[in-house]
Amino acid sequence: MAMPIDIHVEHLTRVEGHGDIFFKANEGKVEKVQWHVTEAPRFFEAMLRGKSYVHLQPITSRICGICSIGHSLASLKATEAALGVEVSEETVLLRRLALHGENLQSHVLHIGYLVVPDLFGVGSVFPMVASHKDAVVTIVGLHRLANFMSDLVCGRTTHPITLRLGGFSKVPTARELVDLKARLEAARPIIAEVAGLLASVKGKLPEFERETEYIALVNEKLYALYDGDIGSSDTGVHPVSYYRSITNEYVVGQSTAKFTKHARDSYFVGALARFNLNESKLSDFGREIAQVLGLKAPVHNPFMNTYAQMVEVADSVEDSIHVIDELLDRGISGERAKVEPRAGHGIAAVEVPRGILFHDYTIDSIGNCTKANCIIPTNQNHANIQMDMEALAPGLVNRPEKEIELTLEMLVRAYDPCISCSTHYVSVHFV
Amino acid sequence: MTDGDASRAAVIGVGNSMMGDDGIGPRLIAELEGTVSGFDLIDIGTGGMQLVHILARYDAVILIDAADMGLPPGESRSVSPEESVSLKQTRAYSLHDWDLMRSVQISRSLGEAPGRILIFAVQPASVEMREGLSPGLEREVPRYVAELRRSIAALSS
Repeated sequence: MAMPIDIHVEHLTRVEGHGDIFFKANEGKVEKVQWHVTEAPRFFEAMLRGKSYVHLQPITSRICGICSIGHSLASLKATEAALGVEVSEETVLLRRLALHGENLQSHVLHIGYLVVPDLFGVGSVFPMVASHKDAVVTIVGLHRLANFMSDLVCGRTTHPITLRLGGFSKVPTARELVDLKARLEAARPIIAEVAGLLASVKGKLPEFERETEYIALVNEKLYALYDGDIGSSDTGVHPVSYYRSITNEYVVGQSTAKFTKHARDSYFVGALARFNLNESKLSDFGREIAQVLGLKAPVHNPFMNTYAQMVEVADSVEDSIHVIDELLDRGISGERAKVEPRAGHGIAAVEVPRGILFHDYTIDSIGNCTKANCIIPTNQNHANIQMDMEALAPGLVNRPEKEIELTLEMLVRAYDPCISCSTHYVSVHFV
Repeated sequence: MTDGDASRAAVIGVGNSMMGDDGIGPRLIAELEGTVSGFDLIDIGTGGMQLVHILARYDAVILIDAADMGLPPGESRSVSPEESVSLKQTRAYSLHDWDLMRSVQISRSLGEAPGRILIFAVQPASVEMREGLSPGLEREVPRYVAELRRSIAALSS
């Protein structure tokens, strides 16, 4: 008779923030499998109330040390929408470059430092320095390039200082952009090498499939990151203003973060959702890497999110090169749109490394924020993680306890969750 | 700051200034600001992999950090990485669970570490969620600064 299994992974490692996994089985039957979010709520939206429109971006940047560029851009776009500010094409190009820098930083960090150890059967990146030194050198080199890009465009690696309302406080020079382009070009073979490495260990990931709803920004021309409408694999295209009807946040007992659902009981956001909805908009290099990794949309294996991130690393490098070419052709003026306070309401969506991010602000006539709502990607993935666990668990029940634990941990890591960011608000009613 | 800086020496303060005495690194960097030439002064916060990237830029560094050395609170030591072994048990890498010695170790394994590394370690009195140092460490700040200046002068020669 199968022995009872009782697994509690407290504070899962190699993810950002605190989450627990529970798995209980008896006589070959799963009795409980749950993804718990235990991080304390952070109340950023309450902090924004009463603050001047000029302070919304610097405050919301601090929601996340990894996605500070994405939060800054969502915040600037929502504030500009509320104040009726139109930014220039140059600003949009530079903002796209900033977002690519963050995507590279975050994806390389997740793939290289957080997931690769699982694929090589070690506990962390540290032992790999001895066993797979070349791989670590390559990953550190790519991460350094991404940091360099963020330093150049955003003024520093984390918490951007040049991204401002209406434009940039400092723009890179043509010479600096030429230098960045050369570095990005030089990274192509390195990216192909890392993709080859990932392809060689793809068999280590579980062959698990669960089709779900995939939600991401979509754009007619581009692999959408900075701008677009909301796309759903189930219900088609919706305007960004429709976001509350997409997210439908609700409170569950197992989580300090809200869960979300749309057409089904859960949906997926992040690199895999973007890949599934926007594969046809990938650059040539993005397509080439997708081929190396054997990815073809639609992909229904959540473990492949990491591989979709690798495709996006390639796509971000190629699109960054295009953006730089366009900036160099146009010439860089540093123009900034005029920004003045007025009453208004603005909603913005940006694709950040972990998925679609919404900021929604109401601003009064003197420019103070009266209401704010931020819906973070990891929030939107919690229900999907839970449902994947429920679908994965019966197939694991006869496996050794360590393997069950590792597989469930790898599932959560595949989503690259940023748990601290997702614990933004819990309604408390005292009766 | 970007790659290719002329300055090839730095003093780097590691720590979280919102965790009491863990903030000794950033605090001493602020004390040295404007008084040191030929050395970049870097408050790297909690550091992480960023420290590995920064170490690659320099030939000589002084790293300032709080360390539990089993000494009375406020005591300090200047040691080389060879003289110190980290006892911190990190379960695995997350972005908020890091160890200064591991950054140095990775940097050395990658063959890009500064040739000269000095660690200025201070025994904390309390590491808890609070801004500012404990009174005992606060009193010792002038002594730490004097000692760091001596180390900077020695590394400059």
